[in-house]
Amino acid sequence: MNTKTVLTIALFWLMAITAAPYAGAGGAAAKPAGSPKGKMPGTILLGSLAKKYGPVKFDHPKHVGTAGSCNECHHQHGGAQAPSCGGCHTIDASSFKKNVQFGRIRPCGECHQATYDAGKIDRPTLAAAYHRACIKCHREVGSVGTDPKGCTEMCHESSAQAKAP
Amino acid sequence: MDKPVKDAGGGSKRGEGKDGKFTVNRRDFLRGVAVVGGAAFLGSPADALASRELTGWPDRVGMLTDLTECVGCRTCESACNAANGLPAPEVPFDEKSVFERKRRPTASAYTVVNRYGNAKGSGNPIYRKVQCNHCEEPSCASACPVRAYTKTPEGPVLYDKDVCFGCRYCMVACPYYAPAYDYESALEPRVVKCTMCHGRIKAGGIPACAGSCPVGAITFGNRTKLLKIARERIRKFPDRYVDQVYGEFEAGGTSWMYLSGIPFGELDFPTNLPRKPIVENTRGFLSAVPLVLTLWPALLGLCYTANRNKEEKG
Repeated sequence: MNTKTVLTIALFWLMAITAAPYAGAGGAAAKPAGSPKGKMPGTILLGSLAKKYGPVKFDHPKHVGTAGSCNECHHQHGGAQAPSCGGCHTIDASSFKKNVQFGRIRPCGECHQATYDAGKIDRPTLAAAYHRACIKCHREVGSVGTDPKGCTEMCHESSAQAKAP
Repeated sequence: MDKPVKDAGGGSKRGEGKDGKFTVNRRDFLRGVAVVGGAAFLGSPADALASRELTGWPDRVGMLTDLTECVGCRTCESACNAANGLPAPEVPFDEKSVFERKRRPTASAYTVVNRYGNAKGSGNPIYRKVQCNHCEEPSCASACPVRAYTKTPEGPVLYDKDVCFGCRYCMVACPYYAPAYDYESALEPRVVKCTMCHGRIKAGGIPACAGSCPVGAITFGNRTKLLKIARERIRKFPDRYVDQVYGEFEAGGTSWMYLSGIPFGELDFPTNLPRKPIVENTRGFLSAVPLVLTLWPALLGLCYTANRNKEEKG
């Protein structure tokens, strides 16, 4: 490989990384200030844990408008109930590097396991994390938190199984 | 008299010979005899022979119910019902009319959730889950005349219906009114209470209620760790919690502990319980009973015989 080829590759590479920020500039959705790059989700079906209750149709854009800030729900850095760094990042070099990605909103399931983990009993499971995040605001709405039926009135599709003992 | 030489056994522990066998030297033996003899006459427990410092099994598990998180969905009741194969309830689990009166665990429901008013903060109702608290030193077990109760090394307090003959002393002894009675069968008496899903714990699982709670209000794990977590939550959110972990010390401590935002007395928790286990109230007396019954007749009989011999000679 001669010097000219190396220089050409370097030039293209430089152009590519400087152009990258402009690539996503045409995003249509109005995002709160300071939100990370990348595509914001639309309506999501939260159904990974649905057994007794139907899955939840979650309108992300609508909630962004209400919440006003990502931190209200995505509490990874800052926000009301921000866990300590060590709460999510195990402090040893290999795993720390692997799971620190600045500027990216991480899905809840990356930290909150779906099942019980004896090593992290103080960290809510995935279902508990979802419910706490939603109930934080929704407990004041409708009959959530005052009537067991509130679950199906507000978020979950009613299913015959939910009534079954 | 010479001063006794300390550690004459070459650095081995007291009461342990060089070969590791249990040995008693003459001095200790005489001291023991004196204590037992004294106890026989005075009726006080032989404390010197048995240390009462019970610290519990280090790996025992527990539960931590955070009453500030619970939203009264009754999923725990439903999960418990399914896990234990209990009969279907009279009203479905999503019925809120059950909150109109305070319920207790029954033969067909090992756990119930009760609703309380709340004057603090948002005014949202507070829900309290009720079940057996699995005491560190259970008074049900100490009151049971036939040893139908066992405190397992894992933590749960278990009941054996095959031994039970239905006297229900355990129900009287329990400071939390947890054991319920099955009146369905006259010939097969049965006390019923939560088992903390002992079988599941042994198999490496977690209790049904803790696994099903949608808001994570019930945390299951090593009891010592749970206490740390509870203290940490109180430290982090002093406005949210009252500064007490219910069950840490009550009646000698329980496996099932609680955090609350309002004083526990307002949620019908008994607040008059001593810090020492309830069994301590009767241990002294009861431990002397066998001694009195066996040694007194023997000693008095000896005195009587000696006196009679004197009279005959004289």
